[in-house]
Amino acid sequence: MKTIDMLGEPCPIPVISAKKALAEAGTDGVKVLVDNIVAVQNLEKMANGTGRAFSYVEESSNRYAVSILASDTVISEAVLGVASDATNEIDSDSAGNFVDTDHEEISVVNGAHSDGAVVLITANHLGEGAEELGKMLIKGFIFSLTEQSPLPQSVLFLNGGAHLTTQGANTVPDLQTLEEMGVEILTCGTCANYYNLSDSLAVGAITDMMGIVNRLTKASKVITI
Amino acid sequence: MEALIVFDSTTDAIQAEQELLNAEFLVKVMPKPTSLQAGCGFCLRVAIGKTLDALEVLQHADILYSGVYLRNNKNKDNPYTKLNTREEIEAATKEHSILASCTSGGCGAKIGPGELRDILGKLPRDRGNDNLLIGFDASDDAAVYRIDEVHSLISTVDFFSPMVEDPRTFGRIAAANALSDVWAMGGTPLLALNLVCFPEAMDTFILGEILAGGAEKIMESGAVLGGGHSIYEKEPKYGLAVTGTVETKKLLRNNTPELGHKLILTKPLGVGIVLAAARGGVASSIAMEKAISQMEHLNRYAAEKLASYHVSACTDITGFGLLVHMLEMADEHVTLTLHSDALPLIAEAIDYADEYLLTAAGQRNRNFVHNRVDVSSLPFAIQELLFDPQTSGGLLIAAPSEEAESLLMDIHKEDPLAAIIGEVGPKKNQSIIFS
Repeated sequence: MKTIDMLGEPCPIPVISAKKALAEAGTDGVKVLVDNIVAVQNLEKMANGTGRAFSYVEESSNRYAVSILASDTVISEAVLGVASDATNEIDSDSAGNFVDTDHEEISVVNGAHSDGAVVLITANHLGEGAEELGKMLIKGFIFSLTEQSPLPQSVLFLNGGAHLTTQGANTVPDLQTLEEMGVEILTCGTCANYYNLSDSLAVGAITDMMGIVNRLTKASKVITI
Repeated sequence: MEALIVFDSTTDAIQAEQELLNAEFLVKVMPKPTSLQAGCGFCLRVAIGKTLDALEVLQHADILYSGVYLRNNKNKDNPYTKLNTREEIEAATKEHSILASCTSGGCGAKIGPGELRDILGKLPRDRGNDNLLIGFDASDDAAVYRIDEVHSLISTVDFFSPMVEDPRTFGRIAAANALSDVWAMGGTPLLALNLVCFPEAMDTFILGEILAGGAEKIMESGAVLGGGHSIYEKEPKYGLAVTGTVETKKLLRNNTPELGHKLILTKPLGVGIVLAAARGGVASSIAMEKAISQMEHLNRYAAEKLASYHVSACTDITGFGLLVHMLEMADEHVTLTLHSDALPLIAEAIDYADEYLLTAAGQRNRNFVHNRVDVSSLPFAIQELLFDPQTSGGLLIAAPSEEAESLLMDIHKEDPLAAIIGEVGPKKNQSIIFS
């Protein structure tokens, strides 16, 4: 039986490591060393829940040896599988919480550059050509905006650009950085609605055509992507 | 703090991003900084604490990378330091990752309710001071001290180690959590003081970010930051001591629910389990977003609605979990019925609980409740969510039956996931029963 040393490891690491060891082909079980009784109890819940034999020995006041036997009845338990399966569902319940009022206060502190450019982003890729390249380029472009001086005044997202401001897009953290530095981030509401993204806005606010055109006509300079 | 992974070809960079996204890494793209000589036009950014895991994913997928750099924003002239070996990455993680330096974080690090009760029971009490309306013998949310005929002071303190990697987010959560006790007592926070423990070897830029996050939330709370105290310590910790005020007759206690009142919970349960899954590297980014967004959210908004209603009891949910707080609320006088189907939950936490991604604090809460509540009729995952330690949890409110729906609608304006989860009934054998 394989022994894994989990002394000093916080929950749920001992359980995760034990599950990995138990999922290895041909194993007869696993011995887990932990340093507190609560970790023993969490291992016991896992063993009981997956129908495996469980026992432990208290070797000293801060050393417990837990034995969990492999069970033929649970051959292909999907270790950690469920956890990642659940990831692709977008839960619209939490939408709406992202438009924090405190960001507005910060923008006053940092001061958006009122002479800065207005950037209009109309797609989730940059330029014509290979799409996967274009998708990388737009992400690099958005990051680069965070390092400009002066910062843009507003970044507007239109049509396919709405994919960049909504949940699941890895451009969101950089856009949040921009927002915290006082840059206005706005997404076209009609576009978000068309792509079924209205409930999953993750940064900035929604605007309408009037809001977009208003910013474009008043801007000292407009960069269109 | 982030690490940059640099690639020789654009195709490798594109593939690497896809692999890391598939593996649920929070990976971000940036153009290669001009000052770095080697590599193609793109590089990827990951949290420094996740760098070794990310490199493992790339190796597994046979994707070549040409170098790893630490990105330190603070150093404007030379923000990139090459990390040549595994040891150098580990050392950088130690210096720059607040999470990697901690063994437990958030309210899950609280000393267990049973242990605490035993220790506090041995302390001497000054029975002669009538002005201390609520002290440590009451297991309420904060101390309350009468200062004149009309008003009382509310005094509370809370701090913990990081439970998220981003220091500013940690600051926001710690402050939202510390301020909450004042609202749970029906009061208004006036003054906050920072409490800081910080490792001598860690980058002080991180400390600045933690305090900036805290200051944002103090400002949003309507209180003012008055100062603080900081010491060097092995693991970073942050929190606030908060002073608030309340009209004494409007004080909300945690153990005075009236018969027939309905119970409202304002935030979903499950952040402890989501954070445990994140510690194991398996929490989805959407689950983390939900957990962080609700931990940062102030209980101010829900609490401000209570003044127009005849609320009989209120508390906030902490590391002791919902069930322990319900036991405190029921005290010896009533029995609370909990509708387990009505509980607001972070959906992913149910899956993680069924995968045994559980915290030590949750098990300590289970041990404390032991046979005082019979949870055996509930599914395993629901049991675990009732014991789950909540960092910056929601309010648990008892309000008159005829007012509960209207109060809930008011609360929904800022806390859309709040729900009526049960009611207060006459005392039975057990203090909490399920339906």
